[in-house]
Amino acid sequence: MKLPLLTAALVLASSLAQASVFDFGSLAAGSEANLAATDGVTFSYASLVPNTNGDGDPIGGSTWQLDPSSGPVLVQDPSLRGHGAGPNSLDAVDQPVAVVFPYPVTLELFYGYLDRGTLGGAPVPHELVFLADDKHVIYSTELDFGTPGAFFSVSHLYSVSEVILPSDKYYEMLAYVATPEMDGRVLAGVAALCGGWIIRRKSVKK
Amino acid sequence: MNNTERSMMALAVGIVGAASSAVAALPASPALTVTRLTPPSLLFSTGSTSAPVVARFLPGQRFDLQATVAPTAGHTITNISFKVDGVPVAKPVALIDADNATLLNSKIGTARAYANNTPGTHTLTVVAKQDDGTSTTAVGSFSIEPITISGRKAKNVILMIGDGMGIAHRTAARLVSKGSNMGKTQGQLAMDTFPNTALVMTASLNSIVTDSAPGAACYSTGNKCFNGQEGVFPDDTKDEFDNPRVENAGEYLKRTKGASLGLVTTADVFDATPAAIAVHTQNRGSGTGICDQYLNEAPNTGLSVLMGGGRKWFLPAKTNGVTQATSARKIANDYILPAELAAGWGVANNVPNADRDLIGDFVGAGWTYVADNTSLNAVSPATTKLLGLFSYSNMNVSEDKLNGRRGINGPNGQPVVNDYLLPDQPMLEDMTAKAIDVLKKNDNGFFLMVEGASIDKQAHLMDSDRWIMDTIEFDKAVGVAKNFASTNLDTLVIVTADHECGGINVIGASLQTSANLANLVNNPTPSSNYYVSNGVNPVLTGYVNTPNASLRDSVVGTYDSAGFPVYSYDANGYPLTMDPDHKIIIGYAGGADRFETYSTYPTPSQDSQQPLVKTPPLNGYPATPALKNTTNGFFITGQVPGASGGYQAVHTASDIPLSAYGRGAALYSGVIDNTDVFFKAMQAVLGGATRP
Repeated sequence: MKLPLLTAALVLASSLAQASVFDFGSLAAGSEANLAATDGVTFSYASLVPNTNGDGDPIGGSTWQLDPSSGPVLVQDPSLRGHGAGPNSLDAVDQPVAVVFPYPVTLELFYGYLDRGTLGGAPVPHELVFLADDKHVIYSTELDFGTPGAFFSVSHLYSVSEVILPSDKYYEMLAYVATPEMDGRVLAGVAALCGGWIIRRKSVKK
Repeated sequence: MNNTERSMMALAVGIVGAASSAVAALPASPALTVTRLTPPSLLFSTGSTSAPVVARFLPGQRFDLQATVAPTAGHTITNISFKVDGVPVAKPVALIDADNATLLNSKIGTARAYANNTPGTHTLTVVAKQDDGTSTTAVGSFSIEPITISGRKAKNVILMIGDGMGIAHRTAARLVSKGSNMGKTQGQLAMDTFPNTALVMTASLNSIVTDSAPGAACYSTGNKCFNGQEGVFPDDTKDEFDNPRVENAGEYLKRTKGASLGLVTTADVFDATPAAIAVHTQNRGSGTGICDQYLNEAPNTGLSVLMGGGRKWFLPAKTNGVTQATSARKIANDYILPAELAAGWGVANNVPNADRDLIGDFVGAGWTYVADNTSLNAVSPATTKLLGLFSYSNMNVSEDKLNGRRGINGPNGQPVVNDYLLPDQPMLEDMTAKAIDVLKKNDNGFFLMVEGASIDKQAHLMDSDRWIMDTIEFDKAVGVAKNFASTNLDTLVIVTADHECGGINVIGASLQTSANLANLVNNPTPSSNYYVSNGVNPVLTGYVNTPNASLRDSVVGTYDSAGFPVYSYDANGYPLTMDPDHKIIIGYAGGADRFETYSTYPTPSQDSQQPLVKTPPLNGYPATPALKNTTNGFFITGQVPGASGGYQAVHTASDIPLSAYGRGAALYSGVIDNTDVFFKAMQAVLGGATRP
């Protein structure tokens, strides 16, 4: 394929929105939630870890980090822990879960349903957090954990790399509509290739 | 409850009365006056806006708002309402008469089960009106402690309370159970191996010296109460169960997370420490009501394991019309809740009934009941609710339980434990293991309190050998909890006390071999000046010397002379004897008058809580520590009053050590308030924490 066409295709592809629904209910209890993932999205437990300098000393602030030590995120039957009767759901009861995109996306829409139980409703922070590639918080919003089966949605966020699902609940369903964003390094590479191709074309014509 | 703690409770009641009297001086004035505002605050009581906030709560933790208001003479209070941060509280306010004798015309207004979700300090304003239309206001404060989201949460909390266990109790247990040589300990207690340590300040709401009720309640509610009170704030009524409540950890975690609660103790289960974790009363002595409330409110607290002594509260006072000597149930210390309290908190009420078969009611509610160690070991793995009552009141101490297992007889020709009629009692580590087995079936987690109760009780009695052995027993239970937490990583284990007891320290070691010490004790060298006895308690006249004048100087080795005592152990790691050659020597800065032989006394002192204490053979035990060794001990003058305190050592205001292990352990460091122990544990449970 001619490079301008490839570039155009990439640009076109990057402008196409992806719509995905994570169907946890179709998985058996105890399955890894990643079996429900599509488009390269993965689930991982996450912790908010204090920032440190090179010597390990705290320097203030904290950053969300993936926590593989907690094992894989599982799909479970919420009723087994008293979280209401419903389909098998993503288990975030004991720890926040990161929804990790393979590349930054423009999140046109992110939505889901909480489990149908009343447990997990202690009025402590339950923030849905959207992170950029460098882990800075793009946006956060408090979810309604006091309403069984609550629906939540967030729209129009740019350069999202991870979404942190607050703990204390099962997530019966998650879905998103997103547009992949070109990574800056990829764009630079494409630009360099284009430039090289143009220079080469000009030199050939001579 | 031992004699000293009963005395302290009486003192606390006196203090409550005194406090009420102090504020009661105000209503005699013509002014319409708010005399008490709850939750308690220094803002209300002193007017200081810069004073620390006293009452602190979790987001959403429930507590009662209450005010006592005295009208102008000749008038009556018609309305009491509350505002928080200027916003009216949307809760019904029940008005009742204050029944404190000095507040006869006062009204008490109570809004039940209020909660606030917003972290920070809040102002509480009460507005009271009387029948002539005049009104008054008063302002107090409380705070909501923030929970920080940080990651994985502690699912289980095991709170291990060595009652009365100060630093020296731990040191003594380590020296005896592990040994030391050439300056190096030969092993660590399980609690020594915990990575995080803090010191805990222990004052209660009305004293620098706490008793066990507020000393434990603060771990369950995050709040201080008066001595003698459990899970409540003080009020102006005589009703022992109507006080303003504070939601405890069991209730909060059951309501918000579906967790279970377990209580394991070597004491009578009505005793202050276990009751303060699950019950709400202003009188720690109300055994019938306390044990009834365990079951009545189990759906709210999540109580699923209750083990210890105290069968006397569960047996009907009469069976087929015949009074049961082993029952202590009484209408007088049972309860009925005000209807507005029961409705506000959504709890079942109670019908006072001395003849209630409480064990039967537990079984009827789906609990498995075990009466001895044999049946405890045979509990079905499927058990989800377990009641174990292994003695009529406080369980026997480990020294006597072990002697029973070893076939060592006491002075009555049988093991001491047999004198109490129920010799087949489990060790604390066995109860702890079984409790965890039952509670871990709840995937939503559990809050388990395990108490080594007789560390305190025997320290009160200045029976060094028995409290040291019980500290060792407690540490073996700590080991069980640690083992569980090492494989169940979402578990936080906290080992601490509620207060120090005895002003205890290890002052050295015996200069004598065991045989020589026995010879010195059996052949006293009396002096001419010594005590005389009235037959019940010693009456001290003038300068007192001692019936065994040379014993102390012959025995107590200090500094270099103390060396390194050596003990020997059975297969389970318990000392084979507490009287080896050159045993360690204990001193009591908070002790009472006593006669010391530095030797294990054949029996414990009388336990006034035992229903059969006035009958043989228990009535042959020393009624007080001062009645031990009266002919062959070295008299030691106590630092605290004798007769009024039952000749017992006392709790002290010393900070106590805390060790933490597992998820959230790193939250514990520095010198912290006893209420901080609760908030840090709840941070780990609600917001998450790392493992150190």
